[in-house]
Amino acid sequence: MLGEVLLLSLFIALTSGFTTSYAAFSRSEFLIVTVAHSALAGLSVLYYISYIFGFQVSSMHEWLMLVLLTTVVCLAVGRIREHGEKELISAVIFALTLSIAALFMALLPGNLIARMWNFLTGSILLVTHLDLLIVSVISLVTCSLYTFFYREFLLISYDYEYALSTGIPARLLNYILSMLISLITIVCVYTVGLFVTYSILMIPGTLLSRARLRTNSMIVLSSAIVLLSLLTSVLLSSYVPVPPSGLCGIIVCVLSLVPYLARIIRT
Amino acid sequence: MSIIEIRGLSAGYGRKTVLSNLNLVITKPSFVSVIGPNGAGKTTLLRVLAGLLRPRGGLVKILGVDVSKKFPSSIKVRLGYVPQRDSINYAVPVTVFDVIVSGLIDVCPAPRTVTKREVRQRACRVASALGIDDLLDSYFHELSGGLQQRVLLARALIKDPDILLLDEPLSNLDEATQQEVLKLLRHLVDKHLKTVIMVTHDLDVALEWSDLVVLISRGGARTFKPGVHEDVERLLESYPEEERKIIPSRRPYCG
Ligand SMILES: Nc1ncnc2c1ncn2[C@@H]1O[C@H](COP(=O)(O)OP(=O)(O)OP(=O)(O)O)[C@@H](O)[C@H]1O
Ligand SMILES: [Mg+2]
Repeated sequence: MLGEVLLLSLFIALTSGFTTSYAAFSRSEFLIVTVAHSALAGLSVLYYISYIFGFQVSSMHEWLMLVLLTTVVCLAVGRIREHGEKELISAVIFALTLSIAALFMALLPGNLIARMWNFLTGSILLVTHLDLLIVSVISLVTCSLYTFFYREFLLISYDYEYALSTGIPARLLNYILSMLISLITIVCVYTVGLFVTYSILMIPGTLLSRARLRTNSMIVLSSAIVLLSLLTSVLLSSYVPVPPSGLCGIIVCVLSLVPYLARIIRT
Repeated sequence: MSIIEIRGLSAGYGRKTVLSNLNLVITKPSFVSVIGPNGAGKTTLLRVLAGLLRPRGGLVKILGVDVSKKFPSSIKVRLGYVPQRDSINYAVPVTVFDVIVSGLIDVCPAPRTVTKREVRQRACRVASALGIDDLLDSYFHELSGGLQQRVLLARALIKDPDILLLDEPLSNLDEATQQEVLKLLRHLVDKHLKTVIMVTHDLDVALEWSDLVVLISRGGARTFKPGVHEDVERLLESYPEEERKIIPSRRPYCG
């Protein structure tokens, strides 16, 4: 059990380090929020359908639903981005998906609401072997892509206009980057819950990008912060009766603030 | 083979047509200045040439290749583009070295064929030509506007392109640096047979340094040769009144 939690935390930390940095670089925080809420809406609809038609929802159903949804949302957001209306339309998707989630969750019976609640507060201790397998495959694939296209992803994040003028397939790479960010978002929602997802994918990147660190140090440090936070919160929550998700969020914030404050004090 | 051949080009954004029936032919390596009032479509023309905006109609040939339908990467690698506004997102902590070297991204894509040392040497060479070799390890977003402009120029130059597309590369530069950059560009045209297409608002600069001045107005382009007295007269006549006022007239335009 402990080994699985450790392994899962390691995979999540590794991918989050890249994802939070690239999300901060490419200003994709809105994508994370939109995908996370769509995941929640998708799952609540899935559970409602299973309740109406009386079938049991398996992890496989959940994963399929999530991957399908991410693809759709990511492609939609990618297209919207090309046309420059990203804030407006993602605000609409954001509000819409959250409303759908709230609506269907209210229609579910108690036991299914409890299952849905898990996606909010997270359940790293409840992961199955299948989840671990899926997470490890997704993590390895995304980390390889992040590493292989490091220079390309960096360029399209800081100068998309110039990237388009070069011979690299900038549009395609931009979609791939959005897809990777979205995929990791759903992996996190599924394993550590919505609240922790927000803290590990948005806070380290946003704060560390202002800490005068090199981009690669930033990725490594973000991964370390996430790993430390996940493990400490799980460990602490077995001693004190508080949910690990809340603890994790606080630890991530505190750890990410340190380099940021250090920079402010130095200058 | 012409270096650039544009015939009946029309281009725009959404419902708006910015360029219509624009013609321009550049047959030999030259220093071309593009001038015109704000919003005339100078940047739009450069974006078409850089492959960022697909023409709505007409023919655009670069180095003999028709790019109006599909813009091949083989042509993109031969262009060096400096966007107008710093299109850079300052949230990314990149160094001057990173920015300059990103100019090589399509020249030596993965698998990386050029060694790190070679890349460093090339970056140093081009940086010292622009007087920024001591800034390679500084963060780009912490530089002044003029220094950033030089870094972007270095990024366009590092891949040794055949055609340089420069959108107001002199803005933010002080007088002395402007002269340095112009000398460098002139040298590239004369000695290395590059073609420079530079957007500028400075009529003096255009007349003094370029081989050809392209005036963009009302969607079309008219070309003038600065060395030809009648051409300069015609240019001054057709140059928009309101634009003339905002140009600091440092030198008399013609004898
Ligand atoms: N992305 C865009 N979407 C819609 N319209 C645009 C866009 N970019 C430019 N335009 C419009 O196209 C016209 C030409 O713009 P362009 O940037 O080419 O002018 P310019 O000659 O470069 O002007 P300036 O001297 O101010 O740089 C302008 O009216 C502008 O409002
Ligand atoms: Mg312009």
